[in-house]
Amino acid sequence: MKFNPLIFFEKASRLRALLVAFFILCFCLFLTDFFVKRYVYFEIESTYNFYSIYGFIMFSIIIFGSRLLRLLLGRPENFYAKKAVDSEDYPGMEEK
Amino acid sequence: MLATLPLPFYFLIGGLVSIFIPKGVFKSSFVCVVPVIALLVLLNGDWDEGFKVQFLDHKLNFMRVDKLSTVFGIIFCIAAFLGNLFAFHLRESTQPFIALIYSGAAIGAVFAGDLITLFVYWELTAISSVFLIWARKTEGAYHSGMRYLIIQVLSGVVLLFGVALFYFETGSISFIKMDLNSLATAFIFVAFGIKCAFPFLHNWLQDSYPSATVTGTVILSAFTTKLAVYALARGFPGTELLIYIGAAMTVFPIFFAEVENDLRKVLAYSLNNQLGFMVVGVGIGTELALNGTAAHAFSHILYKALLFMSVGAVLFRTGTSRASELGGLYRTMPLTAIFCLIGAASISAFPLFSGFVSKSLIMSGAGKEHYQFIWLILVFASAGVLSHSGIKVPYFTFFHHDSGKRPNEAPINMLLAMGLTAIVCIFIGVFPNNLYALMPFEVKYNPYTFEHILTQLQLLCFAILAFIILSKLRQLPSETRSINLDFDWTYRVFLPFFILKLLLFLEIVEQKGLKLFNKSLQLFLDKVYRVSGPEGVMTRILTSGTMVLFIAIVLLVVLGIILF
Repeated sequence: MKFNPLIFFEKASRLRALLVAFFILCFCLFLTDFFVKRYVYFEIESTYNFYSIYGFIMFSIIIFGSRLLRLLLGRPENFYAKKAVDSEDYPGMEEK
Repeated sequence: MLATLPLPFYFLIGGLVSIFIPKGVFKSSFVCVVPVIALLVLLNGDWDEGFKVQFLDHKLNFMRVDKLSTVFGIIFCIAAFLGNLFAFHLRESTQPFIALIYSGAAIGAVFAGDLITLFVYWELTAISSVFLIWARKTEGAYHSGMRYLIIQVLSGVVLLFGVALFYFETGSISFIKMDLNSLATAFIFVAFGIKCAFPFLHNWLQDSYPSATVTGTVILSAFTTKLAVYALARGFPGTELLIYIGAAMTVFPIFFAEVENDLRKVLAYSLNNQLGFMVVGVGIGTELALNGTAAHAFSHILYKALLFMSVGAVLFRTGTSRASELGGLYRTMPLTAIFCLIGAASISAFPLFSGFVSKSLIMSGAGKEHYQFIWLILVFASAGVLSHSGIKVPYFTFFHHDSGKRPNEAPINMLLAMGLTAIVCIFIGVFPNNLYALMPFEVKYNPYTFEHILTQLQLLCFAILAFIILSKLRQLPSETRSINLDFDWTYRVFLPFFILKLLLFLEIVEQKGLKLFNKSLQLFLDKVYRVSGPEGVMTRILTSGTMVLFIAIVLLVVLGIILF
């Protein structure tokens, strides 16, 4: 394929610009909560920027929780059997 | 005229016919056309009377067509078409045949008006679909398929037992709303739960789907679990227990998905998490929540298929779906990458994508019924979906570090299937009313309110922000070739180990027992020998006079007893 829009962001400066734009978006979303009176189902939801804070914290919990999970339950690929699917490559690169 | 046949028959007959068509474009086209014809028949047929057949003392209904079964019927036909289009390049007999039989069986179960018909199709989905795993033709896939088959057939056996008890208790075999208050309905509930991948019953899903062929997984991902969701929505709507089961299902797979290396396994865990949302919807049981379940099943089948397709296309081109061996594929597989991003945006519920308009129905359902804790869990799970399916799958496959792999773009049929699925995902997201019109109950819900868009964007953008920061701090779980133990450890390692040890113990007990028995027997025989042997008391040679005296004494004693 000749035209590849994803290659556009290969340049470090463009990627940085994208990141900066994203940070600005986050900042705007954070500020917007000041001006919006939200309809809420629960009291906790009406906390200022509840969704932003909850999303940030929960994502971090997921990352650290999963690392803990791997620490406890992580095993080598051939744990169950020498020829388990986990450790094998896909056979014959599909039926062509 | 066509509409006189029950819908699954089109698939079953089509499957049988496909065997006799020589491998090639015509065969592939044929298996793509069958679901389209079935869909047209479903939409244009007159099914008010159903399709009733007398079987012994019972009237079976093969076509109970109402709004709930129709929405699942429609999406199953679409999924079958897209899955077969994705597999268009295959030049073999088994998989196209199995794909039709399997999808037909799932559709048959959806339209089953009675529990006997449901059971027959329920088992047929199990028996047919295992061949999509075995088609991989490796030892590992064979064992994985066997485990899958045992668990799926077990679900059928449990269902049959429940149905028999249900008939015994109520005298009816109608597949209608049931209460979870008897042994019979408990069995039926568990049978549905096995197929729906309830916690602790879920491992067949993560074990088998990554073991199937590239195209097989796409087909598998659509039917079995959503059939179970349909069965729960039909049989147990409003069962509160389902809310808690569903909530658990949304949470625990997130952590596993985050650290799994095989991206198809990540998607299998993600599937489990999405099923949780639907199960919560069924448990809440209000019109809003049930609409949410049906809508979410509809959009989920599409975006999950799209994600499995994109990872499948990568597996097809590179021979691996391990995150640790992929990365940087956007350079040579840009279209697949874009389609994967669309699937990721849909499952993460970004505005204008399908997940946004369907998941929010369930969330609102939970909110309206004041399930605060459940609602908080669902919001947490939404951030979790973003973490593994929204970010991890596309990021580690197509971006991240350069794996050095430069595969060709996916074949044209795969691109077409992915493109069509992606278009539908966006179409549903942009024009949700078309989806809402299919729902079992009237939908009075507008997902595109300013506050809904704002809060959803806040949740997602700040979760992404956390990802960026943690990534910069190098806190993300590293991609290493490894697996993680899950509950299947109990029956893959512990139970065999326990049974082996038990057998060894029994063998030792048997040997020791035998030894003790032999020793006791020897002692006994020695005693007998001492008493009755040539030197024994009993065999001592006595004179006749002594014996006469002995008898006389005995007679005197007897006489004495009689007289006094």
